[in-house]
Amino acid sequence: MNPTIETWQTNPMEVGPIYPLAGWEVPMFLACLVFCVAFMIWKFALETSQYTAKAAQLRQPGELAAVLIEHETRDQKT
Amino acid sequence: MQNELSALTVIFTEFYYWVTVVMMFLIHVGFCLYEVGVSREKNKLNTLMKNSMLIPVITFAFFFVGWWLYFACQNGPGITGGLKSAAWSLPWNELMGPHMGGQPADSTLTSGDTATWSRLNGVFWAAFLLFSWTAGSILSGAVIERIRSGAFWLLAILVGSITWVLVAAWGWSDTGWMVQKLGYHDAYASGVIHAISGGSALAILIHLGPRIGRFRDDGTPRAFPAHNTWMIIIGMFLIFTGFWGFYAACNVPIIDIDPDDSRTFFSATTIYLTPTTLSAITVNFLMALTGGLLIGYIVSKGDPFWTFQGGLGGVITASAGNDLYHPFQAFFIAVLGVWCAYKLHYWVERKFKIDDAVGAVAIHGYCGSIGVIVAGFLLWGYPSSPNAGYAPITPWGQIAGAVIVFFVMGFVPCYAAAWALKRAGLLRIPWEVELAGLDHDIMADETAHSRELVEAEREAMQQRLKESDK
Repeated sequence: MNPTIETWQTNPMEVGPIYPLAGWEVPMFLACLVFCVAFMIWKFALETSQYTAKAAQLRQPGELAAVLIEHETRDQKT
Repeated sequence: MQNELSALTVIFTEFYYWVTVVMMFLIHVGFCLYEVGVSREKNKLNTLMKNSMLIPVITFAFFFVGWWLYFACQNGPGITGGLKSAAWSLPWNELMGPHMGGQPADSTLTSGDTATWSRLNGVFWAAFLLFSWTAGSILSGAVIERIRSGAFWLLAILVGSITWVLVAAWGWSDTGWMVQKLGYHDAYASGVIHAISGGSALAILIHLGPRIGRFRDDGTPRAFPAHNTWMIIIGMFLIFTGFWGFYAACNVPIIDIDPDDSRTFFSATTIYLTPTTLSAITVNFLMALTGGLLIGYIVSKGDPFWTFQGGLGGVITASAGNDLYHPFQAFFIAVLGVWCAYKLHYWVERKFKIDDAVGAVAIHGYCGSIGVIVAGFLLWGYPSSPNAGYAPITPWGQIAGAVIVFFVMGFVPCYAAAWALKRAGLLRIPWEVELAGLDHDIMADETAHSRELVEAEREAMQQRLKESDK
């Protein structure tokens, strides 16, 4: 891989982009886009599964009532 | 940059915007503190992460599409022309990366583009991005303690990287169609940031519904005690501090404004390239803050939450015309805006059962819209632009502008998006989780860890006592 800049001993007015892989901006953009879209999809999927499991757990007899008592006790302490 | 004067001008401008970005970061710190302070103990970490993670999600979306929308859509498109060419703002353009301003490799760029944008593209982009975060954060506070983070981030992308950017292109640029046709004037973003975000928040709140227990059977609201008042107050002070950067970022710091090519006169200008000074906006900012704090204190009878919110609302109301107002005008406009917003907040809350946890719709939406409209009356007849043929500032132009920013571009898109998310079951957390608290698992883990630690300490103590007895 050739560096974008090979010497600084040049006329600065003729220097354009200085980052590595100049000319590969579109593939880099697409890679970043895929990563970010995948993040959002992952987040939605994770949240749905976590909330479904948590809600089911809290619907067990006495579970939610116990949590509310915990909150009450904590509030009284603070 | 071939001479010292042009180098100083460009590098000063670059540095100027860089400083505004740093200062505006404090707005986000303030919003985080404020929201976490307002939330209850059982939701504080989720609230923190929901707001903090809007930084990356809005940043990538703004990089991908927002920056280009701002330049390309100033004509509508289709109202005063088509899409504008703005190659430097495309996410794959070489000027989005480190660049010395020499000959472009990209054939769609001119040497003029590279000379102008090589040093300014990044700092302009960042200044706009920080406005985008602010737009997202405004939504964030209103919807705490019951929205799913994923849904919120999607809505924050919609507002922070698309809708606010479009109204900024139309009404907060030197050639936007709203400026040309309506004479729209909104120098420090009463409408294009605050009113649109407030309108968006209102639309989301309608679909999201109130927090469980918010309203009694007779329709009156219950107070939700904040878990940390000091975080709220420090957060508000940080937002005030960051607003100095917000105001400065709305200006162009140095530019020749003399229309005669044979002369030069350098001045700071608004984003419309109309002249103003940092002195003017500094005094008006403080007088608006003063008016807002005073009326917030009076109307709420000394309530700290509304007093500080009043200060912010005062600044937001006066912002549309703070480049031109006299300080006393800024003061009284702030008083009017905050008084109206306070009354409207409680009326809407009781009438429509809207649970806006932090008063964001009132302080940003109502104050912002009122500020835009008031500017139409006080600045009636002022030129909206140095460009010939642009409409002057008028009350009807400003009223139309307020309707566009609050309702058409704020309320409507978010109403549709929140409706779709609700239909898909992705908007609100399950009621069981809401009652238990969004941090329930973390708190349960912490309790278990604490118990385990105490147990281990007890065992260690007994071990050492046995050893010392020997």
